[in-house]
Amino acid sequence: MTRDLCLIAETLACEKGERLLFRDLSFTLEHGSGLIVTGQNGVGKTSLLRILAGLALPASGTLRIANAPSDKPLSEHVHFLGGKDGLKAALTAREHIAFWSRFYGVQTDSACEAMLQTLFLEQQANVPAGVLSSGQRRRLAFGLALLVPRPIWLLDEPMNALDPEMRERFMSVLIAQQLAKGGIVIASTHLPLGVPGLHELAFAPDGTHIFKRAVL
Amino acid sequence: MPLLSALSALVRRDLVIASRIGGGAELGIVFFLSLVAIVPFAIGPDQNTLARLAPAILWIAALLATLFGLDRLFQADEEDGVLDQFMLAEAPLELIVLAKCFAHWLTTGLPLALMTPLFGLMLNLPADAMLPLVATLAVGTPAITLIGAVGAAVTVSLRRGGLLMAVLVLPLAVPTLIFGVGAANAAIIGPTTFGTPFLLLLATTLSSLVICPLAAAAAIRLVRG
Repeated sequence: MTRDLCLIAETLACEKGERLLFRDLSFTLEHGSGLIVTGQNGVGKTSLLRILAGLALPASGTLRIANAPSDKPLSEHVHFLGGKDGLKAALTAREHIAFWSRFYGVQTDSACEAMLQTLFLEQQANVPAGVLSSGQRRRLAFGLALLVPRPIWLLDEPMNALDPEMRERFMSVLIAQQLAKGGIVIASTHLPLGVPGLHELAFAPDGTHIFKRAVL
Repeated sequence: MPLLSALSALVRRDLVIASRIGGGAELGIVFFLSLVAIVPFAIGPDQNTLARLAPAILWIAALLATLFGLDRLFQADEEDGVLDQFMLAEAPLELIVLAKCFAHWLTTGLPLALMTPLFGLMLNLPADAMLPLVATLAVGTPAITLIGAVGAAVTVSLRRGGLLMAVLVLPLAVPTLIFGVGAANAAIIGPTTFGTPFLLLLATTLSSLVICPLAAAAAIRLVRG
């Protein structure tokens, strides 16, 4: 879907309050490549993802995409799956899918059932999100993003709350598919993603960072 | 038109949520009723005084009942992460704000305006003033929701932002209050015609319709940026 797409970050810096979280962060991610962001709690992994999504502004530095499929702003090329699931407790899984597909302008009356199947949520289709388990909520939140294809995925702890079987059968499979389609995946994680060939951005507690080949 | 269907889906979603979690229309009306019911205890049972003050009382009650709970307009979506998704959506944030305001008005302002004749009876409101008062509230409450949305946007990340929002919003709602009560009074006691203040009320609503979604969206971006 996205030949030659490139995400380019140049000398990004992030401050939280008075504290400098990281600086001089530069990288170029080409289509089909994945980056995992590791480091202790509070080093700025989530802040980095929010900056990349355009939900927060960097203290300095620039961020751009090259060869994007359209000239929309970066934030419209991005799916952001944060720590909050983006689900309404009062709405059922089916209603979530129906609302977001209408909101994104995709017709998915028939695709709704297929999506529920992809998410392994057929049994819970009519259960309000408020009473779903956290792993089920996580899958539903992810499914809402899958309704409309976007080339760049920013995932904050995607493996959290998922059981080992779902990590392997669901999350790893979807991430691998996104990369195979030529998308870009950036995920902060403490757990292996189960996908080969990823790069790793490791933050040290003092705010410095190194890039390496992910061994996970 | 995909944008229009996106926004109508959002309005429908907010109406469904309001009807399921409660605290929307019914509670607003009960709050309105309580305000109207306690005023005669404070002012006294003199029927002429009550009739003279009825438009002002009903308007202030409507103002407070609309603002009550409006601080949750964006906060609920902020807390569960939906606001992040809205900010990444193709639909402009300004129109998302407008759609949310419309849904809020449908569940608070509109029912209040429609219930006014009933509450007017409790305040000895003259029969021929019922319709003008309903008209002023129907036209004026959207402005209150829209102005309140700006306050709700500024306080979106504050957990106890309700009072602060009211303090920010009430001064801005003064023109709406003046022209709303003015039009209702003009219909009852004169001496001006109903039309002049009513058109000015309409003008405040129309300008809120343009300015407030822009201001609220800018505030959300600023507060969360």
